[in-house]
Amino acid sequence: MAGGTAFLPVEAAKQAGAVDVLFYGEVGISVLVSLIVACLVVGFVTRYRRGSPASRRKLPQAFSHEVEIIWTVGTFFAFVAIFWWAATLNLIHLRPPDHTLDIRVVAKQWMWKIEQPNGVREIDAMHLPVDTPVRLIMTSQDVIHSFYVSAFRAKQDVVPGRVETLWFTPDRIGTYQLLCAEYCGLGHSLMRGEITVMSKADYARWCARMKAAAQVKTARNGEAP
Amino acid sequence: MTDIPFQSLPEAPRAPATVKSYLDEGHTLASWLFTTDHKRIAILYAIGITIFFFIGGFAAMLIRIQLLTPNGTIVSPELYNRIFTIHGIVMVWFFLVPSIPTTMGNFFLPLMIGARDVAFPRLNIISFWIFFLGALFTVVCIVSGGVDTGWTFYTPYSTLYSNGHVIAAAIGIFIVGFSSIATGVNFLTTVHTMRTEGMTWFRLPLFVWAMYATSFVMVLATPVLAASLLMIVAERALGMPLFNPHNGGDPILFQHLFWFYSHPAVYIMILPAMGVVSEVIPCFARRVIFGYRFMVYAMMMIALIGFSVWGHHMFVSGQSPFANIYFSFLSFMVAVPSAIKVFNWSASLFRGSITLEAPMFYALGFVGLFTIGGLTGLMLASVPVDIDLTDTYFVVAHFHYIMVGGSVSAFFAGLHYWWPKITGKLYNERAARLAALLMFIGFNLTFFPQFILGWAGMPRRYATYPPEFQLWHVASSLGAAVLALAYIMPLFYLGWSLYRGGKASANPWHATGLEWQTASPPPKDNFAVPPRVTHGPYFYHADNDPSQPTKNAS
Repeated sequence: MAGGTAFLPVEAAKQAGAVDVLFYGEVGISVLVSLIVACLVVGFVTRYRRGSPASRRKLPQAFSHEVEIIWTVGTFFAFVAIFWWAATLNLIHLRPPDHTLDIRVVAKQWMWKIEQPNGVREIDAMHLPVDTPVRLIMTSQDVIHSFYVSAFRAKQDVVPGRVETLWFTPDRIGTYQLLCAEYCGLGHSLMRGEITVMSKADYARWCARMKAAAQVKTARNGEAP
Repeated sequence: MTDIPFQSLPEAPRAPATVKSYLDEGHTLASWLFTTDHKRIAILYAIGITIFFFIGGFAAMLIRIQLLTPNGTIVSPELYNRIFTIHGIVMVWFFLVPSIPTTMGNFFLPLMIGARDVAFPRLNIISFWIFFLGALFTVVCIVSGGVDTGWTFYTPYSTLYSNGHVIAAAIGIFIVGFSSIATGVNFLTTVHTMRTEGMTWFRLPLFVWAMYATSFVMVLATPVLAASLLMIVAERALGMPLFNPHNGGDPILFQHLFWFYSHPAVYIMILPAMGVVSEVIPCFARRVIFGYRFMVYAMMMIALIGFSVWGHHMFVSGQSPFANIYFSFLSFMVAVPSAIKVFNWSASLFRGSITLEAPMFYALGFVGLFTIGGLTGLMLASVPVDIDLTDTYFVVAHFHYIMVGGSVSAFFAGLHYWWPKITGKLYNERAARLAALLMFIGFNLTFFPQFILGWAGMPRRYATYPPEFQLWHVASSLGAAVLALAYIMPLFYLGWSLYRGGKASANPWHATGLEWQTASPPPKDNFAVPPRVTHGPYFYHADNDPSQPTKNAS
């Protein structure tokens, strides 16, 4: 795991920054609203505790209706605004760019099988070049799993009988944790893997080396009786 | 509320002192087990859900002990999976869904509308037995055979891959569903047909409105749960390929059906809590509830919109991205009436004359914790944030803030508020306040660290976990120990009050609901003479409040 703390988890993909701005923005709004409610409750309980000298006159009749309408409409527009922010962020990242590095992922109880574009295979590990849009083409052989890389703020359920895609652009070299996020039985919590993001040159060298190793292995197997 | 004229407090038709209370109408076991008195049925339910609460709570303690260390402290992953399953199933279906409606709803709905009983007393006792036997059967199946699917029963894991007594558990929950439907039908009919003279719709206490909205959801949503559980049995027992993709089934179909029930079920759990809090806050603030009609409309809107937000559980399931946007929008909309309610509860304190007895402590705790639960719900309704946070501890923390911080706090608020009426005894106020305080602190210590865990990337339902998450798991487990103590305390001081508690008067809190205008505990037929209602339910203004010294009125 590269960097990051519990409060500020590492961002390692292009979209992650925008998601975090939305998240921290919503945290800010939530803290503000919670504080307002807490101040109102604690303030009123203190000011209007039994026996305090504060005024207890009745409120004018119209007051309640006006206040209700103001905060209903206010809340409505505030929520629509937050929805708008979240929805646009979601929609602009919906379509991957035209040219992506396509990697095939097959999930099964309890492992991730990865196939690079050049045919190199990995288990519970995935090597990726930095700053390159990656598209995962995923399916499951048995139950529903979920491909989850927190550092990329990316998650997609992997469903048997369906092909699901997920795309992101890693932008930080390092190793990141891959976890299964959909409960899938006995080995669910051990269905972990490692994503290694390398420089483009390192990735090219790694691909070539693995490809050669795989060919040697295939050739040897071919010679065997 | 403001358009309802406030007249002088009517002469309460009190039962003569010689009338026997419902507790004295027969002391045999059969007089309890086969009773048709809504108040006795409420007590039976209360005993039932208390048993299930502590079974579910015991499972929760095992979970928190297991997660003290990254590689699992006490049990194997196999057993851990069964433990979180039993925790979820028992707490959702055998505690939270029935909790407030079947106990306080059964006891007080007829009293609050001035009725002698519910509309169908025999259906009421039958629904208790369906609930209790169905739930007991399910728990025995899970404990003996082990079910490891989680309470959500996601397919095709539950139908093709899981070992254990999935079929039996599904049948048990299927059966318990009938009890929910029967209770819903009973309450709807009671509210429609049995309101006493003068009890117009807009004079109903908000607790009654909450029961009414909840009953609608129960009646309309529960059949869908039954249908989806039946499909699990059909695939698992008969091999019908309903969800198995290799024979043309659709694994996602189950999630749609399941959440079509289980999201409205969240409102079955929280609407009654809102009702309880709306009774408690005006009483201890000595103030009319702020915006009564808006409170009613808000509850009905929550019940209604609640049926169209289920897809927000499925943002990463592979459903259409535009479906995600649709469900996201409606999830924001269902939060509007919830926010209005929080503002109204806060505003009800304005110009009050507030005292902080235990019920008020719990009710104010509810307002705070529900607010945090609701706001984190908005984050989860935002698609990009949810993609990161769904199936992590952030979601676990969020729904525990709503269900434990919200519903369970409200349950305790109602329990303490109405305890003198139900039992005729006064509990120890000091012990109750201490328990309320411990519950609030313990709850936050347990579940706030889980927000941090989720944001740091810790998935749900992990028997073992990467070591960097340990600090927050330990914090959460320590909080759970405090919470457990706070939940055990009421057993002792409430139990003690039954034997040694002072005798409660008919109206120890000087509350204005009809339920306080009969003896404590009430006679079997509730009221000697059916009461007549001439004003709204919250008659607490300082200038006509009998509990108030006059110097505060101006």
